[in-house]
Amino acid sequence: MPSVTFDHVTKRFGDVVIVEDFNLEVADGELLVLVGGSGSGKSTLLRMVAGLESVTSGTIRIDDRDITHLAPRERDVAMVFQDYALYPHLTVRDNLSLGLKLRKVPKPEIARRVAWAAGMLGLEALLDRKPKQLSGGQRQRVAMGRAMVREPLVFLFDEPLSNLDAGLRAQMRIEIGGLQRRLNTTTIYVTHDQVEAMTLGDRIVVLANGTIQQVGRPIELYRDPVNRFVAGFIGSPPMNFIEGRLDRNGGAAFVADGVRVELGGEREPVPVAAPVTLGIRPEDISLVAAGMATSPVSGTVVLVERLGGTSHVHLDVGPNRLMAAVSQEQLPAVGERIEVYVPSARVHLFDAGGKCRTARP
Amino acid sequence: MRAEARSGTLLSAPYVLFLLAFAAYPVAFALALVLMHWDLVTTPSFAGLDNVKLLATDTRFWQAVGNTFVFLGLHLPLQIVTALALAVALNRPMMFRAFWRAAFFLPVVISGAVVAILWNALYATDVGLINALLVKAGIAPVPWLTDPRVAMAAIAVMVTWKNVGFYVIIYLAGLQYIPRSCQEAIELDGATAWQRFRHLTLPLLLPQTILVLTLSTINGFQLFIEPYVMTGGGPLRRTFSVVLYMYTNAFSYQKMGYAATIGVALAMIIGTVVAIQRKVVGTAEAL
Amino acid sequence: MRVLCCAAALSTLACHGAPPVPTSAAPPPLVLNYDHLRHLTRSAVVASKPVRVVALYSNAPDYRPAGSPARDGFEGIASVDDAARAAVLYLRAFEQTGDTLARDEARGLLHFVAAMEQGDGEFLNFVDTTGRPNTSAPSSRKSMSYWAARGIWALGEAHRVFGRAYPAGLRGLDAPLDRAVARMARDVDAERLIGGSVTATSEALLGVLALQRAEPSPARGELAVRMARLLVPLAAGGASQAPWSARVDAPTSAWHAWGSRSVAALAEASVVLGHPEFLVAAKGEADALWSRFLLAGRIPSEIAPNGTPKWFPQIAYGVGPIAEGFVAIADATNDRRYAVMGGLTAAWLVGANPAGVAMYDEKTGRTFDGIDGASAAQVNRNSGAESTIESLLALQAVTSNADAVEYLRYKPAGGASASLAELPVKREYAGPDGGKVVLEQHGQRLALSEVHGATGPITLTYWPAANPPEVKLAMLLADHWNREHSDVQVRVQPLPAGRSTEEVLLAAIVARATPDVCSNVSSALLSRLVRANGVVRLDNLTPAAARLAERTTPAMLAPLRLPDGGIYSFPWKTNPEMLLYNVDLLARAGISPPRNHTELLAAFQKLARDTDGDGRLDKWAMWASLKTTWFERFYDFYPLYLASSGGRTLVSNGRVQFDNAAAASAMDVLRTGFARNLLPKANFALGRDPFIDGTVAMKIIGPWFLKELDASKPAGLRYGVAPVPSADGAAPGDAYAFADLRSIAIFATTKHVDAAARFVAYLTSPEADRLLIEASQLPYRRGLATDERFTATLAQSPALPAYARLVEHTRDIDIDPDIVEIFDIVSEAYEAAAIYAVTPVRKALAKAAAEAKKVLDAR
Repeated sequence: MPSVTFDHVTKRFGDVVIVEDFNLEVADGELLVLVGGSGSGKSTLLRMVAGLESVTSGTIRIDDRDITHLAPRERDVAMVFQDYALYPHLTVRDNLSLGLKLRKVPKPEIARRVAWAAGMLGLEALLDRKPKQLSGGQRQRVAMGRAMVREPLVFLFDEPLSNLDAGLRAQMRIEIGGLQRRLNTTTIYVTHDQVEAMTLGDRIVVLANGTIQQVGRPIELYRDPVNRFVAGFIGSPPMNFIEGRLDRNGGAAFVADGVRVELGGEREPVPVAAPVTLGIRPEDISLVAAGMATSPVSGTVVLVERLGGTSHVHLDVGPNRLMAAVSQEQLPAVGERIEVYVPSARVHLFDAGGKCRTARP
Repeated sequence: MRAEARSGTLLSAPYVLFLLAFAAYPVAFALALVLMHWDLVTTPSFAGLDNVKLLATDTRFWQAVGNTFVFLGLHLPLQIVTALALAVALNRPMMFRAFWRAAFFLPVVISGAVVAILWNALYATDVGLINALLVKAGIAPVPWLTDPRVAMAAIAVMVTWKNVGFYVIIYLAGLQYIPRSCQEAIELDGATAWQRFRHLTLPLLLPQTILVLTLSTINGFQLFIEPYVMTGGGPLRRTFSVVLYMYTNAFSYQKMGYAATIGVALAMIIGTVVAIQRKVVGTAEAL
Repeated sequence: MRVLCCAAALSTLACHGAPPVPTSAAPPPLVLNYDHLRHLTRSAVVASKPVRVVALYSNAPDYRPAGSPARDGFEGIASVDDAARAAVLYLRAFEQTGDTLARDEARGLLHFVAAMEQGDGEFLNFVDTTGRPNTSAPSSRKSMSYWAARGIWALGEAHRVFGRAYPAGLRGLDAPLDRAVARMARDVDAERLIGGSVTATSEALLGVLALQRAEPSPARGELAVRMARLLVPLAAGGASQAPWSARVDAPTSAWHAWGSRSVAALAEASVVLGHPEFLVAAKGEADALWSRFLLAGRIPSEIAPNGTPKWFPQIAYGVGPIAEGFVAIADATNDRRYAVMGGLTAAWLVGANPAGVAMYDEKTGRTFDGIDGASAAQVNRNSGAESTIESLLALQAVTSNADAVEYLRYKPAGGASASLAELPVKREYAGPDGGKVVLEQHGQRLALSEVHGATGPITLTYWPAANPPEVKLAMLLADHWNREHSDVQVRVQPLPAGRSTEEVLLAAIVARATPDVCSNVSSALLSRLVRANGVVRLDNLTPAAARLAERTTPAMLAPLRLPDGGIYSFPWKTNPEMLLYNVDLLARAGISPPRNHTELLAAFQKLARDTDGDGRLDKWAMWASLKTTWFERFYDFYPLYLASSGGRTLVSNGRVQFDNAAAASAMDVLRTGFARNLLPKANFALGRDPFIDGTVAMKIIGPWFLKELDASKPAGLRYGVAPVPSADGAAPGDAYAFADLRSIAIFATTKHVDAAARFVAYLTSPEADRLLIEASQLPYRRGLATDERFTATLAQSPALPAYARLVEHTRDIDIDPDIVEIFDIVSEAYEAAAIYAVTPVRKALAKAAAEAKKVLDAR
């Protein structure tokens, strides 16, 4: 039985539409990531589940219980806020136990749960400290602990790692993922960071302007983005896009300024004159020795970024800028004219409306 | 650096002179007066510790001190509760909110004497508005200012009304600093509106509460204009405040030395009480 | 504000030392010395009665009392002539000072006069050393003549003075007077002058007028009118024709200075009888003839019918009546010129005479018999009874007239004229402190212009109370003064704002910003002001002393005298409290104004009503304030206490006085009223006065309220006044009214003590007092209720005359530095015992007395 269901949920502020006709089912125990840019409506959806925003129309159900119009305290959900929202005047222990006290959970049970959460999160030594005496990561853990002790039906995470530095973020990401798997509580996780989405999510929902672009497992979104937005959003470094057209109907090659890519395989018929965008991920582009590729694309190197294991080579191909992510040691110099190989099997084609037209076997 | 220090000294000099003339000098003079008899028109004469000895056994003085504590006992809780309730109410979005906030603040800036005269009219036993309303509701009129049991309470209510706007502002400022996300978190944690108030708002407003308490206490000890205008210190001396006694001694009986003694004693009492308050309620370091 | 006060105070502290009080540049007030007269008076037994008589003569250098010398035919050693006039003198002295010695001497002399009445209204004159009357000498035979007339004068004065102050002294004096008047009336009805003399008739008329004042009767009034009408046509000549309206016995008689009492008698008659034509007649001689003396610079002793003057011998008996006549006209007309002329005339007695010798000696009380020529060698230095008496009579009149008394020390400048027909157009008189008076002939009248002192025009600042009616009054008075005095201008400044006058004045004193004169000084402040040397002593400034003598009795001044005996503030206005009541409300309740506490309680009961049917009383008998501020007791406890306390107040000489039955009774009646809920337990805070709008039926209040009442009462509100109820069984003499007395003070910061003193004398003059009455305040003036000068003004408001009757029977706030605190203590005892009944009355009073004693002892 699915755990959280969004049924035709719409949210409007006056004339402004935040979320339009949102439908989704979150499975029991699943960690679902809502990802998108600012204004995509992801936080709003989360807060609607929490009850912190009202629903203009539609219903939200948890375990078949319609919670759309219930007060937050009646929904049995717990939220981890971006700024942690710890109670500044209470110790860590009291922060963890307040929710239980409010619900009149007996004291021994409270102590047990607090000890359990503290153990899970490594907070035992910090129980008597006040939030201002904790570091960012410690506060984050307390926030999670506070959500955990409640043993709610749903966890809600609202960009919990945004306020942390990069190293801590990576570490916490792993911990959150591990924690969720152990607790197996249904979790909805909002982030703008596609790395988090890709690593944490069982499924990802990509949102733009309040509508779902694509729902699916991370690898699906990576391999088969359903439109240009998703394609460009998922994957780091982001996909390269070249505007052009096909050389003939259903055509075998993509042509653009200074570019010709042979295409193989079936594809949906696209009129010859229609503009078409070609997308190719940097990691799929390889540098070739001159003359070796079947349909090479040549360009001038404008920038080489060495990241250690991988290197990013930026080159101008006509009016377009491409970036190749390669792992070889030998790298061309800036200003050198090189050829790169764009494998047709990895190419994505998007029509004028952004929809992906590449069929995959 | 020296130039900066010099210009700093020059700029603050006028105010320093002002303070010396109108704050430091009178304080020194008052302390000197404690040891003198002076009736304003003849030369002061040395009195040794006569004034102090008189103060120790002066039942009128100690009764005034007791009255002030009674007043504070009534006024402080009322002040805190009312200011807090109003601040919370005025923190919500509502129509004409700016107007309401200004309206509640208005009594603070009206002269105390004017307010006292106004409430005199409200409290009047036979013709006052309050009793008129009570009578309409079928309750017997209460002699607010002429019944010894009720008079101080009546004054406490009036002083609360007058000052509440000031403390509402203090509380409103404090309320703005309670993080929104904490409020949401506690809602999710299962708090009703009241529980949210009790467990989150109230504790986080502790510094403001301490400020309100301290200011109200200091103000309360200086209760003067209300008994002076409304009851003359009666009935049966129940509203007789220390400052009223000091004023009477100074300007009706022309006993300036004794009045200064009362003033110094009052200052000492205020200092002691505030110190105790801070100890008991706790100083609020930044959370 | 408090901070500023302290700062100001400290600056004073730093440079504080009481400054010396400014002294007057003018000579001190003239002392009336009766020693020599007493020296001449001796006891005797006449007609088996012990009496006092005055020896006729007393000669230099030993001044032993002596009888008639041989040349006069051994008339005797004492006469009714002298005794009667001495009696008048002593009666007036007793009236003014309350001196019992004067009273007893007067009585003894009056008994002598009465004993000389022969049973039919006719009198003998002389007696010898054994007390045997001389029946044979022409100047002594039984008759209705000079000495009978003087006897009537003395006995009439006795009725006027003793009638009010010492009724027992009249025993034995009624019958002789009645007989004498009846006998005299026969002559009057026959249109005969008494003794054929204008002087005798005038003196008898004075007696009848005095009697009429004491016991008015229409018949007597008509008799007096007839007497006056006998005198009126006897003026000889005319305004510009010799002898210039001189009043003479017959057209062919000469005018003598001595005994020219007709002017005084006619002036007095016009006031007492209400006949203005008598005043015109009196002024005739004064304007036409006497003004010539002043222009001439000397007074003749005789004038022939054709106007030729004889200048010597000049005697006190000649000068005195002229001065008295001028003063009498001044009193009747309020025209100050006459007062000035009276003073200038009386100056003869203190040295402004051709011999340049002071005839009256302040130290001994002797007056020299006369001047025979224009040099000191020609002064007759004997001092007989007549000179002594007449001199003192004149000085009595002049020193109790604030306008006249200043000019006593003036002397005419330039040579005296030789004739009365040719006179300079003007004559200057110069005073000791540089003042000058110029008398100038303007047609029929004499115009006066004067300059005081050598300095240029000075400005006095004057602070009245701050309430609008008083400011208006002050402006009016200052205006009037400024028009008459170009050299001393008065500027009125209303009191700066403050809660009470005391606070404002204290602040002014500390800041050394006091005015010259302030007229709102209360007794509560006075002792402090004196201790601070803040005010000038008034009874040694001539104009103020004269006004005090004229306006107040010693009993009225006694509570204001400070321990050193001095008067430091001039009691100006008083507001004795009475019970004001609503006539209709009392009538409807079926009661008359309560006279004692039982009736008062009954009034409380009957007048408390519930008129709107809500079960609660809303109309009451009286409102007693619930506040304990010290002055709130002025309208409930204190007046009730004073109505039974026999004159006792709160403190006296530093001792507590109020723990007594009268105070307990006053508190009890109010306590019962409160306990039975018959008195409202409310503070009427809003708007209208509860008496005016009919909420309460009675109110204890002073006459100042009448103006407000008359102005704002609803049509149909009828009110009356009654004395404040006394305790049951209290004697009528025990009842005093509480009066918040306000005084005028001259502050020590003034630079013009004498000018200020004159202004103060003006503020308390009869005409200023009339304006005060029009503002429905009462001047603190003796005999206000019966003084004809004020009857009309008092009648303007129906209740004012009742208040006026209480003026001399009041008690004020005690002059004690701690009186405010003691009132506070009493107020609290009242609150505990009467309003809230938490303490029994006597216990509360005892506690208050102990507390008050502590305060007093702590000084």
